[in-house]
Amino acid sequence: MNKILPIRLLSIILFSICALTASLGQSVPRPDIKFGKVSLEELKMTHYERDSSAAAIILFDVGKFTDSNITFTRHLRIKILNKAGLSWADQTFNTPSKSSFKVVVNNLENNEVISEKAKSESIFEEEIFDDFKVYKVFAPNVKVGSVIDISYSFIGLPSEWRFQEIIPVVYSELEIESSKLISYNKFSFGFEPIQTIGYNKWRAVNVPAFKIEPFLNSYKNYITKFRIQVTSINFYGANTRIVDFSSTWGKVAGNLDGSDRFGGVIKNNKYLKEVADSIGSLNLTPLETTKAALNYIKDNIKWDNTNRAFASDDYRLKLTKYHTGSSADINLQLIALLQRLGLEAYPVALSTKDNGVLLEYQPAIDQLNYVVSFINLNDNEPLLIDATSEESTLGVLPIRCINGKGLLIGEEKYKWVDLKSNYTYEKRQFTMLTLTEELELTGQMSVNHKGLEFSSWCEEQNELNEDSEKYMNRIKEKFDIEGVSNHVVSQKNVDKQSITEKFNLDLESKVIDNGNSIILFPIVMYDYDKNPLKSDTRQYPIDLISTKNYSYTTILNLPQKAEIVNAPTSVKFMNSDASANFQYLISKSATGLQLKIDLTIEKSVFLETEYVELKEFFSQVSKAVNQPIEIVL
Amino acid sequence: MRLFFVFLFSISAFLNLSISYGQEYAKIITDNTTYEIEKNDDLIITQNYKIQINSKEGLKFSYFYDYIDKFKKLKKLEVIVRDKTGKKIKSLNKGDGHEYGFNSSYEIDDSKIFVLDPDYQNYPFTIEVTSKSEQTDYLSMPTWLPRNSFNIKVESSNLEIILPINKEIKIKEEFIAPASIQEDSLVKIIKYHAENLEPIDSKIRYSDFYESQPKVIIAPFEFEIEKAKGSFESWQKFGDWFYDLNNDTYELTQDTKNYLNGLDSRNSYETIRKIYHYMQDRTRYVSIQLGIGGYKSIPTAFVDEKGYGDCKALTTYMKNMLDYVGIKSNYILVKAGKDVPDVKKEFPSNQFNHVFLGIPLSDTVFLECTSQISPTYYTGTFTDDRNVLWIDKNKSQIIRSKTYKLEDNVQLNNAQLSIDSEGNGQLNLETINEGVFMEQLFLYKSAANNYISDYQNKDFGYKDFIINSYTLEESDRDSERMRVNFEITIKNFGQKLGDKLIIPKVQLRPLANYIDESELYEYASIPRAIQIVDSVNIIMEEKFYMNQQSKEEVIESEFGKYTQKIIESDKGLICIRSIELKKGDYTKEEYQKFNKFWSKVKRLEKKKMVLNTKT
Repeated sequence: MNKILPIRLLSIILFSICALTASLGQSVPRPDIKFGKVSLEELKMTHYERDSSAAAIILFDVGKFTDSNITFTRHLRIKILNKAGLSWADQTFNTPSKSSFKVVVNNLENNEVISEKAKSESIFEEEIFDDFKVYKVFAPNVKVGSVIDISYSFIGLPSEWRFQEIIPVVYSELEIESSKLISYNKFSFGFEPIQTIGYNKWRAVNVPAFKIEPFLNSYKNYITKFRIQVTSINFYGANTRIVDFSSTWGKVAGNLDGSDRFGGVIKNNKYLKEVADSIGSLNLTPLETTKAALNYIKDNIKWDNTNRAFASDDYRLKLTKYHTGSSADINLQLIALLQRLGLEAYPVALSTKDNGVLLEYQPAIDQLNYVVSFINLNDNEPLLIDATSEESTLGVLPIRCINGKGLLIGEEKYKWVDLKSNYTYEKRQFTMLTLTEELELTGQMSVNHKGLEFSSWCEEQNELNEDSEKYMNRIKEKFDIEGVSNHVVSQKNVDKQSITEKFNLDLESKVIDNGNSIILFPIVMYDYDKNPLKSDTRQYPIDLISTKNYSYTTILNLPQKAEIVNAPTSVKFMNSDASANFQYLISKSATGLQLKIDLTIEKSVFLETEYVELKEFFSQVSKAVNQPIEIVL
Repeated sequence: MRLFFVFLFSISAFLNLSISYGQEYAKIITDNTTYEIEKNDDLIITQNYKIQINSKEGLKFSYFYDYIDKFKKLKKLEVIVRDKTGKKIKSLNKGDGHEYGFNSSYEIDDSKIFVLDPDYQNYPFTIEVTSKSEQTDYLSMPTWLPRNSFNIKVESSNLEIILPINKEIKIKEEFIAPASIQEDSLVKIIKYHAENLEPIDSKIRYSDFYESQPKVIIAPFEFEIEKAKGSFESWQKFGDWFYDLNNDTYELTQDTKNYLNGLDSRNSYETIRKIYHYMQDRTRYVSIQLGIGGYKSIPTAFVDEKGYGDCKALTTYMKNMLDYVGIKSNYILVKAGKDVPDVKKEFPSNQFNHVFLGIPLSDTVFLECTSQISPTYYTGTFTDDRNVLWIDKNKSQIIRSKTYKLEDNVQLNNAQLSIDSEGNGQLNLETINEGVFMEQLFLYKSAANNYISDYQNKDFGYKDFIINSYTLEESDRDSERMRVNFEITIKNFGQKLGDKLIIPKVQLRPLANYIDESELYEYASIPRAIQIVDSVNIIMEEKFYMNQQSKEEVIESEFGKYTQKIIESDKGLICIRSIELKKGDYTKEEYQKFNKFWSKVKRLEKKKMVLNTKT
């Protein structure tokens, strides 16, 4: 059911189409709107009262599936409010079957409505690849103030209906007449209210523009929409979509288990006999055996950067001959090998972050786009394994996979497991600084990245092709620091998910000669030196991916005759549910001062209602670590 | 007939890069490329190469890519994958590849990218490719660039150009040994060879990499696109071709004529403005490139009726309206964009990707016709300071496009910053941008309302702040000066230390706003001269005073000038920062000198001052 090669590109294309097209949405009560008939008020409108910044708005967006002709028809009306909104005159539509379009542009000229129908030369069908096509509509004669009516219809159902868009939607309505010919599941997403106004009929009114915020999990989880999944089609029409039958998660699990490209990959594992025997002959512990199997897979099949839940047709060749494959080619064969070795390993099918989160009450096989391995080693907690990265080990999931829950497919049943790493963001930073009587502040720093910090570090190194010079430029920019040099990497340990790096420091800018006293800023390269949260309000949850534990120590050696005049006092604070903790301890030592800073964050997701408090927490952190010290010599 | 050669060992001002060799992600073992021109002028390109992929970083070099469109077809492709021992792993052909058309929502064209992914990853491995493509109508031929990317080593690469004895083509060689030529009564074969080219890291800009590469640039002498015949014998001849192709009779609608008839045409500058506004308010940019549409404008009537078009169509529309009111204007062909190699003046050929308009008035003025937001006479960095082709019947020639100079590219920041005794700041900032800084206008006019505050806050280096509001002053639409007012709350702008307060000497935007240092390694490039002047009026409680000796710092060099000045005022302090940077590309010793200057500036930028309390 999956076309093999193009998918990795397809996901990018689909994403951009979704982002661009904006399957738009519509006023209260349902305005009496006829296609091509626009009111004077609509044309005279110069701004939208509820959102003065809107470049364009969707006045009206109505979709209806009619049973008698199994046709879905949509009528969309867009109002252009300023020049930046002109881009809404170019639309891309991705429909499941051949579609016919009507486009009318309405302008006000001398207080008269001038309506112009677009000719076929403004509507294009464009092939993106192979037989995947989209429709492009360039509405003619669109100016600031224009009202554009677009209507199209096709046989079948759309894959989603968005009640919300990145511009405001005044009125959006969807009706799906019940039909013996087509059945579907509908899943609801987002925070804006959707009213049920009749049998299989819904609407949303005055929906605000969707705002893309920083630290947002995929916008797909939060934009208000219905996802529509056709579960069966009983007619023979042209170009109908692929049918799938996943009305419960149990059925989904059964389908996966029975599929040649999922369950079959794991069960038909005789071809791995030789490998399994050679690992088996080493008489290792279950943990060591698992590691040996993981290493075998990592060495023999490299990730081709595609996320997939189903293996390819030639997955065996991919392991034994081509040494390249998707997440499914890699991880399903890892599970096969582990089972062959007699270990209790199962697949966990999941949806990656950019694909949206899986919901327990919304079964959908086509939402799955990745699979990892679950292993139960008796005496330990069960662990998840992903073998797509050379730097991965047991219990490590890549960040793209840390997305709610995944579906574990056991021998006879399925269950939900939390998609989390057994590792968190961990960093230990140790700095030794010495101030000379000539006011030179120099020293060394060692930074140990562990867990997800290790993964992020490796990812950054890969991105920079391990070029040290480029990395140093990054460091200087990120921490706003000059005088850092001699980068040395040591103790890279994939098993422990740990890496240590060292730098030399020469911190001219951190010392101020204030005449009769000296002022120092002793904390350098601290990750939360700046408040990461900017805006003062928040609409959606803040996704920090995982918990964090950062510990930072500085030993500051001062000239012998130095006298400390002013230094920060030790401080400790936390947010109200104690999920974010900060501690700054300062103490005198024989040679100067010792500073110890600990930051822990024990939740990976904060609700929008917790935003203001979290922001204040980071604000206090930023204040604390930027405090100077004053000495006299 | 003769063969047209241009021998030029790049005497122009290329950067003479002294770059150390870089990492080798892949190695071209052999590459034999043939360009064969047939009697009917069709161009057959055959490629036969063998590349060794060393590591994951080089994986992209294992893919086969080809550009295809209405005039260019991929006829044959064979790909063999071999493992490190030389054993054949698989054979692939054209059917294993895919065609992709990647276009934005405002674009439609018939060009596609053909991609074949050999789907193999056991390093090192070798890919052998044999391909043949055929091009019928063409204006340009692919440049032969043996080392075609960063981090590739080339052991041996050969080019053969085969053409009938009576055909002419144009060749320009750069950094490559002269050709050997064989001739018989039917064909002429021109051969080039390159070997042992070491890999280069991506620490220089692509345009600089490209300019310094051994290559052979090839262009047809005469060409024909959908029956329209032209020649690259001279810029004048090519200009005539473009002129004639786009000089059909165009019809404006009666509405537009009525509008134009109503214009007072005594002042040309004013008339042009009015017509430009008329166009801006009725049209938008939509790219439609089908067949010869890549070169020839769609009729004006289409643009006038539909209200959209691509650069050629919109430019032609503007030109026709100007023609109608008796103002003569000229097309200008340009290679638009940032980081693009400059057009080679001495080698007439199709080196362009965009068109705009020039009008010879007392000064020549330029009109970019694809923006609905741009001030009439503003063109910006998309087309500035480069060789462009001025199209005029029988008189086409290369000219230099508008260059924004130091006195044009000005940013003025006037701010009032109130600091309380805890160190919190309240900043009211007015930023005035001119010249290249004006381009921010496009961002401010089109960004989502939370974009500036949530994402653009890198502009400011503060550790903890909120942009409470920003307002773009709505001025005359033709003003080439934009004004934005910000209100920013900065927490802990200063650090309290006993009864002292420590604050930065530079209170406004960090240098990273003006120079992208992450790109600079063994050379520095300041593509445009700029000047920035900040004046910050710091208001603080009366008890504070500054007790530092050095209140003015000046660093001056051949590269520019940097000044920091702090003056005491009634209510606090006035801090002036001014930066002047000259345009220039610096390598070797010059780079070292530049670096010295710049390091001094950076040091000053990080300085803080101590406000003591009066006793």
